[in-house]
Amino acid sequence: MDVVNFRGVTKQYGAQSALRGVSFDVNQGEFLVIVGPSGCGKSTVLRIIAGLEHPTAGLVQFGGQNATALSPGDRNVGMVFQNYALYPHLTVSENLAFGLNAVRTPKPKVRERVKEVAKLLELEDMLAKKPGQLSGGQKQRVALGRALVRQPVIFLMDEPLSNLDAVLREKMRMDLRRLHEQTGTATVYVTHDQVEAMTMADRILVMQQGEIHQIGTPDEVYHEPATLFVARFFGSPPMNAIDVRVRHRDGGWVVVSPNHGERAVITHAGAHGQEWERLAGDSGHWLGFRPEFIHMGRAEGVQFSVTVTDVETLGPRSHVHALWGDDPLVFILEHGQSAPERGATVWLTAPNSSLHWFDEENRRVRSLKKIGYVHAVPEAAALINS
Amino acid sequence: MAIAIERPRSVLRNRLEPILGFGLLLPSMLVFLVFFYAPAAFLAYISFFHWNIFTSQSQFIGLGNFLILFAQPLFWQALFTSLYFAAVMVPAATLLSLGLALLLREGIRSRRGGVLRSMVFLPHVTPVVATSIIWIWLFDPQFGLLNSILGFFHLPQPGWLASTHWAMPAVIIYSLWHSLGLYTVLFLGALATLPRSVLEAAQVDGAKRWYLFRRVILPLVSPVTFFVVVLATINTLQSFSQIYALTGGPHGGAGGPAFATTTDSLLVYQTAFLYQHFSLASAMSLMLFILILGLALMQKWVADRFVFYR
Repeated sequence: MDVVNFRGVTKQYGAQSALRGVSFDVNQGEFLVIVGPSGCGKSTVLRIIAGLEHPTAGLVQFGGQNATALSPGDRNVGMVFQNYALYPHLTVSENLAFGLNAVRTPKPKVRERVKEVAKLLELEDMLAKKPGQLSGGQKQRVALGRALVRQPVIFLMDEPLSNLDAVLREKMRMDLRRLHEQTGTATVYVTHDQVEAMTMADRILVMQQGEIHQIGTPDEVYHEPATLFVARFFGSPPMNAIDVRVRHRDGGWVVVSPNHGERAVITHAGAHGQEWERLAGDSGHWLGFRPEFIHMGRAEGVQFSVTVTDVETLGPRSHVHALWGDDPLVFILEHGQSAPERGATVWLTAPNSSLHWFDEENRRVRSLKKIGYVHAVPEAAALINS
Repeated sequence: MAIAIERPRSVLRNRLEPILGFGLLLPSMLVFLVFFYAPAAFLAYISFFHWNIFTSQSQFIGLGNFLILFAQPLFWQALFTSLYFAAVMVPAATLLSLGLALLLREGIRSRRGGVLRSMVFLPHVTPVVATSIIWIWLFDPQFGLLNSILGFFHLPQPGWLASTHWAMPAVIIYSLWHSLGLYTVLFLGALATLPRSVLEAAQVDGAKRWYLFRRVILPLVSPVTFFVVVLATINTLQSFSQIYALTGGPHGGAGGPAFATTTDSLLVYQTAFLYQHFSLASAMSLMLFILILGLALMQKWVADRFVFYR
């Protein structure tokens, strides 16, 4: 059985809607990361699970039971807040014991649990200290311990690492993941950081403007993004996207770029006319390809002749910014590849397997795969730049 | 490397600066000196004399005034009355204002909350003497509103200001009405700065209302509680106007039927300005000062153990 189910949950704050009909499930033992830009509603989802907010419409279930009437304390969730939210007047040990004492746990049991958790999180030396005497990382561990100590059915974490410095954040990321594997407790983790989402999640839930764009494994989200938003949210630098249209020309189907005088970027040789028929018309489509899959030079795939505008050297790799006509493109050169000069004109190839297609509503066109991809017309691209 | 560039300052300016500083302080220091420290020192001085303000026949009598005081039953009664007043006022004012603040907290950001807050604060800005006179009518044993209400519910109707037992409670009721607003606003301020996420963490941790209040809210507002307790103690022990206005009139300005509301400050007034015993009144004031100081120190001692400063 699922730990938590959301069924068409809507949340309104006055005239503003924070969530619009959100449905998803949190599976037993999984690490679900909710990711999205600030204001997308991800924290609202977490607060609704915790019972700190109530949905305007829709159903929230805990273990298959309607949770509407359950107070936050009765849900048995462990929550970690962004600013830790430790009780400043209590010692670390009292902070850890707070939740157990609040529900009248026998004293010996409280002592035992606090000791266990303190050992697990290496807090034994600071049990007598107050939060004001702790560093950010230590506070973070106490906040985790406070959630752990009650043996909750689910962990809720609201950007728990965002107040830590980069080095500590990286360490905590692995520690959290390891902790999750030890406890096996379902975790919902909210972040705006794509790296945290990618590295920690079993499944990622991507949100924007109160709606779910995609729920999937990190691989799925990266390789088969459901929308252009998801495609551009993951990956750094973000996926290149060029505006294209499908046209019927000379008895075949061509993909043209309206920014380049309707010249063909791609022609399709042969079958699957119906698929193209569906896509054809004046509605704008997006052709996407990730910077990391672009090669310099001409090969099988869509080819562009571009002018280099900037080169960012990062050490292990370089980001090269370029213009294809007026369309900006970015590609990545791995360490060892020599970067072109600024102002140089170079050929780029986006291999067929790297192409993503999004329709006029920015949704992924899945049938493109069925079509067996398309073949680029080098001459067309070449013509554009000639 | 950063290089500190200082403008060369003239020797004159260096010398003038401290003088200028003191010069700016001087007016307020003078006011304090003339109207506060000097009278206070003078008061302490004349409390060791048999002082006559009209002639120069003042006479040093050492602790004589204090011995006279200690031998006077009325002094001890006034001291007891003051302490009784404070012993009821301070806890009642603190608890009631905290309670009111907790009730008002819910609507702290709404427009209606603002109206309610103003209503609670309003009595505090009314003039004491004027509202005391209104309360005399409310307290009237025969025709007053209070007894009408009590009568309606078939409850006993005390004589209030006319009764030796009920005069002090009446003064306390008025004083609470007049001062609660201030303390409530102080508590509201403290409650508004409570970190929201800490309260939410406690809720998620399973803390119910009372536990949340006792273990989280109360410790976090303890600095303001301490402040309110000290302020209420000082205000109560020094209060004069409402006691004078409520119970002074028919009793020669000395408080209460049979001195029932004669606190130290009223006795000081009576001794000094009705009977012209200035040195005796000074000795009494000095005793009141020592009492308040002692209480404040005691409260500080308690606070150091129980108040949590963020």
